[in-house]
Amino acid sequence: MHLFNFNFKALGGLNNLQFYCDNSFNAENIKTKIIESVNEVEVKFSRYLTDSIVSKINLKAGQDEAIEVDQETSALIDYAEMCHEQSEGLFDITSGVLRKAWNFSRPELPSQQLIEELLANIGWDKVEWEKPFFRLKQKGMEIDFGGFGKEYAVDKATDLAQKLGIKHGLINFGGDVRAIGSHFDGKPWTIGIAHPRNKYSLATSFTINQGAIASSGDYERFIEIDGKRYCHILNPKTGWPVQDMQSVSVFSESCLVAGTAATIAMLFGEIKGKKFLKDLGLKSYRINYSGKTFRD
Amino acid sequence: MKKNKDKKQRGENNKLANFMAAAMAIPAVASSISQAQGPPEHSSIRLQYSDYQDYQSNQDRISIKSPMLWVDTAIAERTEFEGSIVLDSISGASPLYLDTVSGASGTGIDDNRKAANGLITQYFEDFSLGIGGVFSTEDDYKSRGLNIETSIWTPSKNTTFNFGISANRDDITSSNNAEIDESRTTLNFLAGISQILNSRSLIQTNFTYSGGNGYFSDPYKLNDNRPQSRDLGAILTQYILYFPAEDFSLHVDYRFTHDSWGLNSNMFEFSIYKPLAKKWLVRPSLRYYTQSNADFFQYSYPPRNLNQFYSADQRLASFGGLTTSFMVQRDLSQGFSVDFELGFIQQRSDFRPGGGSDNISPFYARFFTVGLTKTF
Repeated sequence: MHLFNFNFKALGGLNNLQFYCDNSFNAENIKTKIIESVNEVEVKFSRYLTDSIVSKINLKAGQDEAIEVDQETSALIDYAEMCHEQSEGLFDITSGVLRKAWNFSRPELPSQQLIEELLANIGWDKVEWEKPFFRLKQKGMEIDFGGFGKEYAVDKATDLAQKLGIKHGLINFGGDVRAIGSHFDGKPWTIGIAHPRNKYSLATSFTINQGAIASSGDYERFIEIDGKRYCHILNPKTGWPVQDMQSVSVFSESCLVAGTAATIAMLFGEIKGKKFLKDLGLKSYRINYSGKTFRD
Repeated sequence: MKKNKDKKQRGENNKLANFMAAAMAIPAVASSISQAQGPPEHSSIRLQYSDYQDYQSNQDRISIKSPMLWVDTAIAERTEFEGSIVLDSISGASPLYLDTVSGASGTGIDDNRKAANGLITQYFEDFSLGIGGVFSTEDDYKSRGLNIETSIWTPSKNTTFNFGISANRDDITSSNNAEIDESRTTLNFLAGISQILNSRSLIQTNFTYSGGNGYFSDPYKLNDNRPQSRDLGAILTQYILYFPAEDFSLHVDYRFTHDSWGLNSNMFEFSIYKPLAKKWLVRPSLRYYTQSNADFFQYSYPPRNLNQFYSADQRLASFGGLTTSFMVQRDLSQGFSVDFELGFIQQRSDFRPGGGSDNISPFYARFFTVGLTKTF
C-alpha cells in the first residue's frame, strides 16, 4: 500500500486527494473517477454554467413556470430549507445576489440604496418549493449553492472513494476536509487549521481518523476600510457582513453538515453561534473577533 | 421546573435530529457515512477467449477453445450478481499413458461443453451472504452444484473471515459404452481468513475439504477402476507484498493437497504485477508443481490385479511441472481494457525432487487468453 497524493483544480480552487492504494495503475483510475464526480457536481450546480439546474431555475425567476428538479437536487434544497429554519433565517441560498454589492476586489463600501434594492429580492419566503417543483417568485431573484456545494462535493467524493475500495484516505476540497479511515498504519490524519490573520501559519491542528472538518472564516474574501474588516459572509436580512468571529471550524461525520454548521455559527456570532453548535452536539474550534480561541 | 428542562432537552435533541435527518436524506451523504462493504459501484462485463493445446511425444492431443462471457454488477443497493457462461470446444485424445501399447490410448474426444454459473451476494453491515449455482453439460458429463458462502469482517475491515459450503452432483456416461450411467456427489467446505498485515502486505489462507462419493473412474481408459470415494484436503496461502519505490506487487502462492487416494501435491506460484506508463500492466508468472502418485496408479498395462483399483491415467502419476506465463493489460478509454496472456506448461518425471513415475512421457501444453473488459 502506497500513499498517493494528487492535486487538482476545481470548484473555484485547489483540491487535494490522498489515499492508500496498492499500485499506481489503480490509483490513476480512482483519481480520474473522483475528479469526474467533482466535475459532475460543478456542472450540475454551478451558478456560472447555463446548463446547471441552478441556472435553469434562476433564468425563470419571476415567471409562472416552476422547474422540476431531480432527487439529488430536491434533497439538497430540503437541506438548505432546514438550515434556513435552524439558523433563524440567516442561512439563505437566495442571498447570492448580494455579490452585486460586495465583490471584494475594490476597497469600497456599497451604497445602502443598492443593498436595499438587492434585499428586496432575497428571502426564502419568496420561494415556491413544492417538491419536486421549484420557483423563484420574483424577477431578479437567484439561488446559489456556493455556500455548501464544495462541502457536498467532499461527501460525494468520499462516498465514491469508499465504493472504489479506498479504506484509508483524505479529501480536501478548498479547505473542506474529510478523512476516510486513518493512515494505513492506524495513525490519524493531522489537519491544520488556517490562521485567520496570518496566512503563513496555523491557528492549531487536530487529529482525526474519520469524519469531516470544515471551516468558515472572515479571511477568505474581504476588504478592509479604516481598520475595519468587511468579509464575504453576509447577513441576508441586513445585507452587511458579520463581524463577530474570525473563524469557526466544525467537526461532523458529514462535510456538508460541518460546513453549513460552521457558516451558520459565523452568521450567528459568538454567543448564539456557541449555543447553536452546542445544541447540535457538534465539536468546534472558534476564534472570536479579538482572536480569542474556544474549543469544545 | 423539571418538566420545562425535559421539554427543552427534547427540543434540543430535535434540532440535531432535524439537522441530521435532512443531511441523511441526501443519498450520497448517507451512503458516505454508512461505510459498509457493498456491491461494486461500477458494473463490469468481460468477453474472453482462451485457447489450450497440449501435446506429448510430438503428437497433438487435447485442444480446448473457450469463449466466455462474465458479468459483475450491483442489482440492488446492497446486492451483487456475478455470473459467467462458457462454451468449450474440446477435441483430441487424452494424454498417452504408455509408449508401448498402441491402440489403447482411447478414442478421440470431440466434445462441446456448456457451463454457466451465478452468484448473488447480499451485503449487510458486518457480513455478506452469497448463494450460487453452477452447471455444466457435455455429451457424456453433466454437473450441477449449489453453494452458499459468507464473509465476515472486523470493523476496521483489516480482517475478513470466509466460509463456504457447496454440493455437487455429477452424472457420467460414455459415448463409447452405452452401459455406463454413473454419478457422484461431492460435498465441499471452505474456511479462510484474509488479513491485511501492514501498509505493504496482506496474507490470505484458505482450508478446503471435499468429500466425494460415487463414480470416479475414467470410462475412456481401459480397466480404469478407481475407488468409489475421494476425500481431499487442501490449504492455500497467498501473500502479497507491495514495493512502493519500484511500484510493483509480488504475489506468492503456496498450495498443499492431500487426498484419500494417497496423492499429495505442492504448488508454488510467483507473480509480479507491474504497472507501466499509466495505462499498462504486465504480469510475469512462474508456477512450480509437484505431485506424488495415487496409490493405485500403475504406469503399465495390464493391471496387476483386476480386483484392485487401477488407473494408468498420467494425471494420477508422480511428476513435477513448470508453468511460465506472461500477461499484459492495457487500459483504453470509455472504461474498456484489453488483456492478453500466453503460457507454457511442461510436466516431467524428473522435474520432481527424487524423481517421478517411470516411463511417463514429458507432457507439454501451451495456452493463451485474450480478453476485453468494459466497466460502466
